[in-house]
Amino acid sequence: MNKIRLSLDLEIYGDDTRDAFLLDEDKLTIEELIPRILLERKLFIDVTEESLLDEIKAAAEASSQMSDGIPIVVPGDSLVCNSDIVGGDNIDIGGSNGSTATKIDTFNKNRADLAKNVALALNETSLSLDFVSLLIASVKQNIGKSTMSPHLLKNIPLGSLSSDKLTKEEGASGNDGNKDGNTSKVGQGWKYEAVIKITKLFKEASVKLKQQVEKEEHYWKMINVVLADDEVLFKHGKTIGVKFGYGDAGSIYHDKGLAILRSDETTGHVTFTPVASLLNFRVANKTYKYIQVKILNKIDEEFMVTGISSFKKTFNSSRFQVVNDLEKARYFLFEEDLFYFLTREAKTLINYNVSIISNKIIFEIKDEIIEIEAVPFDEYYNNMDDIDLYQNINSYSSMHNEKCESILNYLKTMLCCFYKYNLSLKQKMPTLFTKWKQQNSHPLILRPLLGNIRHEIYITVIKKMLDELLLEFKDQLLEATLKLDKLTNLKTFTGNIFQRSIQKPVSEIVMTLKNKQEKWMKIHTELTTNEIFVPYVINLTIVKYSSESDLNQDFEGTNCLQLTVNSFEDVKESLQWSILDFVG
Amino acid sequence: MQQKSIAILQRIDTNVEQVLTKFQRIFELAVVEDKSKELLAVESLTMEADALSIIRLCEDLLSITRNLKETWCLGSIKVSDNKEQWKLKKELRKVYEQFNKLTDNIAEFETKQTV
Repeated sequence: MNKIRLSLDLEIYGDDTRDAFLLDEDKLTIEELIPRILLERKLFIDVTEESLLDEIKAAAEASSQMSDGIPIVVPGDSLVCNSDIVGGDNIDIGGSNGSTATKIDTFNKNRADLAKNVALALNETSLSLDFVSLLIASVKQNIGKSTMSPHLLKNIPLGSLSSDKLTKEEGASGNDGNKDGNTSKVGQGWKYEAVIKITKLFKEASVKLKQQVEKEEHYWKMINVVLADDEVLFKHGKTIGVKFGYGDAGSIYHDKGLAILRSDETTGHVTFTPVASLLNFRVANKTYKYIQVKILNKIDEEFMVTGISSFKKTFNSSRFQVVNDLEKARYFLFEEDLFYFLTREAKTLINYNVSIISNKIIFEIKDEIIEIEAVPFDEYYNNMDDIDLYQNINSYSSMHNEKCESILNYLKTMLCCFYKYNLSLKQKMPTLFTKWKQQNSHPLILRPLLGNIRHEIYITVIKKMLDELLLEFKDQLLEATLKLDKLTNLKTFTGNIFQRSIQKPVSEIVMTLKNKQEKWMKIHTELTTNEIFVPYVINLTIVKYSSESDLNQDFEGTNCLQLTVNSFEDVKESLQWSILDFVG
Repeated sequence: MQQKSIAILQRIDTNVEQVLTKFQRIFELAVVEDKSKELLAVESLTMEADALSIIRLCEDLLSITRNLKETWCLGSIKVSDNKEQWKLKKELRKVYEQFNKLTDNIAEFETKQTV
């Protein structure tokens, strides 16, 4: 765009033509003049004597040119106008030499108009800029904000103006006669369309709802199947979960046995998904393991398997997969729980020939080894009919199968015993003591198992020893009896079915001897154990009586010996000495 | 009756009532007569809106049934028919003896083997 600078020299028009609004620059006071110069020149630094002289000279030249009727172009002057406006015919500056009043009037009028128009245009432009900015602000806030006027920005919230495109309705201007007919026809069309749309909506919705109802029905049927199986259901968020673990039965195992019953998106089919934690629904990915008991015996200087417990569970008792899955998860949770406590207990028994190697707990009892192993469950393998890999190799290989089963049953029963104990603690009034008990309880499984086996061995050993003693002193005694009383602790039934395994086994052997002086001696040997169940503890009591009636009535007996020993040798020595003293 | 039951019954009632009203209104609105174009346009849209809300109400009814089932499944306590058999001392004694026998079976055989 070209910019043309115009200079108006008012002097040439004379005083009477002066615009009342234009100030006479020569009559300005110094107070008015300085701001004006500042406005025009910006700085006084640029105003030098030479430049002013030049300017004056140039102005004089310009005025002489003006009088020649040539439009002036003076650089450095103040008035800057748009060429579009100025370039028009409406400003006719110095068109002729005759400076008539009408021409000047026209000029002034035009000039005032021009100024007004420029101001108007400026105003309009900024208004439309504001409008556009406000309009844009609803879409692009930052762009709008940067171009908006401060006033608008202050008073109008951004994005408060929006726009849309309106299309002009066609055929709106029909004559009145046709209008009614058209309207009803159009209306009919609309309604018809609406009815068709509604029909379609209803049809779709009915199909969808029907599917949903079917899905729901299937889902709840399955939930009901699970519920009918006496399972504990709980709600977690939007899903229904099932608690299949033994927590409520008294188990303190960390895995509480939680699963969610996931329903299929489309069919509503319920699948059983065990979860490790309810917080994040992390799916538990466990390898199912079952416990197998093996017995090995030393045959021909070599250990051979003589018995193995079988695993014949198939988990297909129900026709619903979800119930079968649940049963399976529950079964293996119990096995896992059991093996966890077995390994924990086995650690305390390491001093008694019990060792743990990876997934195996091994007991060594003289020439026999009992192995308890967690074997990974393989569905395919276990479904095969013949799993006699170890069995039937020779006649020995299955001779202890039944015993293995018994041991396995025993282990499981003892874990149940522990559950029962925990449950009874839970039912008690919660005190610090019961809490302490809960936290410090461990199941008694391996200790009584091993303890009972050992106890039988100890009884045999001590019986043999006493028999030998009797034989040794047979000639010096008039009479000698030996009475073995096994498990005297079980004589009174306390009501706890596990009495046999939670109480320390106690067996008694009573020997009565009569020497040649017709005196009597009663040797009471009590074989028991400590809280580990495995080592033996022998309480030896020897009482002397002067007559048989005293012996029978336990009257006026003399205590010769009363001691607790931990070694068979000590018992033997003590007895030998006592009997020797008695017969001597 | 529980507060929850009352709320559910009320919800069913209002839903059914609304379904019926809206369905009826669809038929009322379907009449063209001498209405203005604008009214006709609005009416046909209202019909569609009514249909949509009928669908929504039906879905809501389905969710009520789900709610009921859930409450029934989770809120009810099962009473087992099995009577406590363990209370009988005789029974208890029987189990006790069986358990002792099991323990014996495990322990006994050792003596034969090892000694």
